[in-house]
Amino acid sequence: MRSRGGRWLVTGLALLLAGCATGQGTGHSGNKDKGGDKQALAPGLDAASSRDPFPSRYKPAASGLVALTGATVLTGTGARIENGTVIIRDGRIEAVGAGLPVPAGATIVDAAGRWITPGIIDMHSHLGVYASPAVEAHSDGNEMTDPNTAQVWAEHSVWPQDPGFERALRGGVTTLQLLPGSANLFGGRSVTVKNVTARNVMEMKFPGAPYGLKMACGENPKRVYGDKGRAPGSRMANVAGYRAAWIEAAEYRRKWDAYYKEKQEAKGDKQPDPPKRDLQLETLAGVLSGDILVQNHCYRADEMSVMLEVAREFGYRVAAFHHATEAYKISDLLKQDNVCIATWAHWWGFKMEAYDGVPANAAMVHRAGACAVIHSDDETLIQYLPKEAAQAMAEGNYLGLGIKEEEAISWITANPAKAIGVQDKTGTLEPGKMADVVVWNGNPFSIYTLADLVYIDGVPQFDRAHPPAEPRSDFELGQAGAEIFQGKGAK
Amino acid sequence: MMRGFKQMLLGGAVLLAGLGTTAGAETIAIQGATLVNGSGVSTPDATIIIKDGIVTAAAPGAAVPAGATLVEGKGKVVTPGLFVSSSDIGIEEVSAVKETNDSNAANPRISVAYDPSYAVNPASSLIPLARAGGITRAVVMPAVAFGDGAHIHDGETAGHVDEPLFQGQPALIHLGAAPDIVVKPRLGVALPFGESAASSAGGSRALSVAILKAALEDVRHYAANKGAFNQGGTREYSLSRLDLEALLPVVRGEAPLFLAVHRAADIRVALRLAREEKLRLVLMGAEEGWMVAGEIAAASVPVIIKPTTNLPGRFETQHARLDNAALLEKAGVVVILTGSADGHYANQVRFQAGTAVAYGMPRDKALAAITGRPAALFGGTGSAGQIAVGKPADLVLWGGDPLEPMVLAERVFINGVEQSLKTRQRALEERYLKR
Repeated sequence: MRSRGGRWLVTGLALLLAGCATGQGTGHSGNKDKGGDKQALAPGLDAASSRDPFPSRYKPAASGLVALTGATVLTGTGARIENGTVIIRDGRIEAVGAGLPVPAGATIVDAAGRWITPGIIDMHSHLGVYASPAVEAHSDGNEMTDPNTAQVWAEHSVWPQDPGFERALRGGVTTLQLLPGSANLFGGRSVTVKNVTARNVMEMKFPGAPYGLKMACGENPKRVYGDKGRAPGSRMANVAGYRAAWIEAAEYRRKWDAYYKEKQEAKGDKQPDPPKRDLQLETLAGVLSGDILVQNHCYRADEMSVMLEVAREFGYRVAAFHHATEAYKISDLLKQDNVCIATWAHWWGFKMEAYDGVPANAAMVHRAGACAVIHSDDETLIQYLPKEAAQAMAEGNYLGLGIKEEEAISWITANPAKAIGVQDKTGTLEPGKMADVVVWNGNPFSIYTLADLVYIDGVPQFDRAHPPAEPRSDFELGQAGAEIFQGKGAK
Repeated sequence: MMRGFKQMLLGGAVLLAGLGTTAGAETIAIQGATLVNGSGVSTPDATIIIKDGIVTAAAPGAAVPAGATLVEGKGKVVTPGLFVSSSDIGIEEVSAVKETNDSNAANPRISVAYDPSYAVNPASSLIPLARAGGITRAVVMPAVAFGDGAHIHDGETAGHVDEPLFQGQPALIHLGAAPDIVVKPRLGVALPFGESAASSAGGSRALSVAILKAALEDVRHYAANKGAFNQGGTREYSLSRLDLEALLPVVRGEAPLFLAVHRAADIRVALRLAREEKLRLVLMGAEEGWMVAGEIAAASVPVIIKPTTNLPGRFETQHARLDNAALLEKAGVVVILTGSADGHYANQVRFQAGTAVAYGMPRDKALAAITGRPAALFGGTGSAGQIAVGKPADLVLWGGDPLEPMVLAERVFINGVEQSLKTRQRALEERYLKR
């Protein structure tokens, strides 16, 4: 409510600016004066023509034809292939199997003794929005000014020069979901990116990935706003806040659906005016229509259970619970509602709602048949996701769950791909998928194992044998270092 | 008076810990395991015999006494119990629940004198988890931040917290199930040096140096004029009487300053200050240590580092890199490895060591850096950090390579007593598996 005035002002301004732009438009605006047509609206004013306003401008380089041979391959589908060959053609996986014939003209990478997995996917990262160095000026991940900021988009905070991206790449991470923080009931839209060098977020955006909506349960929203003397100050007010917002969103969606119907039925000049866009409600309505996936920060079993009921009440689906330290208590409910959970193996106890975190969480959820993910939420842990998965696997096996490496790899590849809605494009080594592939110098779950080669869309983005001469981040380029202290800096 | 009472209490604690080492009459023989000593050196196919909690043999081919319980050690590894060398384990339960967290002390009258050993809770649920992860000793470090602590998770903005310049006196504890686990309090004095010190000193590193120098001068003056001080006959000091007393062992060179210092330039200032003031120093963090490794080695100053720090989280860690441990080791610095200062994650220290190995630190040195080396630095630890014949067993039997995340601790002995590997986490896991 409080921000409504502000939003009107911004929208009004946008209208004004958009009007200017339309007036000076070239090309297709040529016949706008003919026959007394109404002036064409700027795309930003009609949600129907503004489906993808900050489009992916990521264009991978040509990958050519590559054959990775002789490796232990974990496909991400649950299979393990010894003496496996992975063939990449034109940025896609062409074939995967044991001892496949190498196509003529292929660049051969001898991966004997090495392991190959799909590119690692971290579905919970704040790289770019909480960039290093972590100075106040880089704190762009949490819009802590209103419990509902569904209108903000994480991509508008992403600083592609965050040195963390390059570190994550060395850890085999090829795809990341970057999220707003968890201070708000509705924190804003997430963005999914490929881990490539970019000058702006558009040049990293994962083509065709759906948006996510960050929601948050529990302690954070009630603390942040309760401390300000505002709602929510309790978990019950959190839930009241979600419900009120979905009611608004449903009304907004009805308004637009009526407009689309009217537009479809309209003839000739009788084009209807679109309703005024509201960016906050548009994101929420996108969830109700199934276009935007709910990515819900939620620790406790009881709260996750309540959130599943809220989703049922308003007819949407929760794609994933993030952190979900008590997921192991409700594996059956998660399985029943086909909800993924993204968690850690070793984080717990940093706050009350994380007190029951256990190392076998992912393993227990997995064994119960639900979708388990290991995520990082951290610029260091993102570099070690296979090692974190190994801890969950080890504790699961201590409990007798018998988790194999070919299963555990899905926690950081196929399952996060599913949870963020890109499972048809990446996350497994299957023909037709994007060639996001890591060649490891051994078993990826070993502490000693490093990524030798990281391919994104078939293009080697990191090659440990030929490390880049310069840092990827502009921030790290040209900074004086050891030479100053070792007497080598002078001309 | 207060001080005398304190000594009495802690003397008693040490005594009780000593009495706690009796075990049931049992002889255990671990056969065919790889034995790692406190220097990290491995001996394959060794037999380790523990009789009534005392190690009676640890060598290949040791004779197995009749009636011993045999433990198959093939493919397994026995190491000394691991150290976590900078942690708040024992003085916090739930970080964000401040009533349960004694690690954020900030009192201007008692800063140097802050002694966290009085806040140690042997019944904390963090301790069994660390113990089940093979950790048998911890240094409870008053809140000294490592260089990567600037990213604050979950609903907070990033930034630095203002802290008092002096942060108190670290204590050594053991992690056995016992009522008294403080092994040695007041190991020295901890303080930050660099960005966070600058912020608490008034906005400049140079101010924090001036404050430290003034404090040292005051301590020397106080030591020479105690009689006058007690009659109100001295000039005003920059520290309270308690703080002056607590800093005395540092000024006398009997105890080290634990300096959390990150930037290469700041490390050099710290080394210079130690020379000028004749102080013993231990560097913590030292993310840019590799750039001045020769100078650290020449000063014979040990470093306690977290090897995974490799991001410019702050400007002062701009040149943090994963082979810092390897480069410092190569230069001849005594390197001790530790992990997160958050006690919930004490069991992660072996993976920190493993990562240092992955980036070039010799494996035996990395093992020494979490066993024998911290034992030598923190002293007074009985048989901790080594496997010595005739001494109480303080060791871990691992299912394989102890640095591997797929490997778990199978048996843990602390002060000659075999420990339960039950944790609250495992109780929860088992409850919901049965459901």
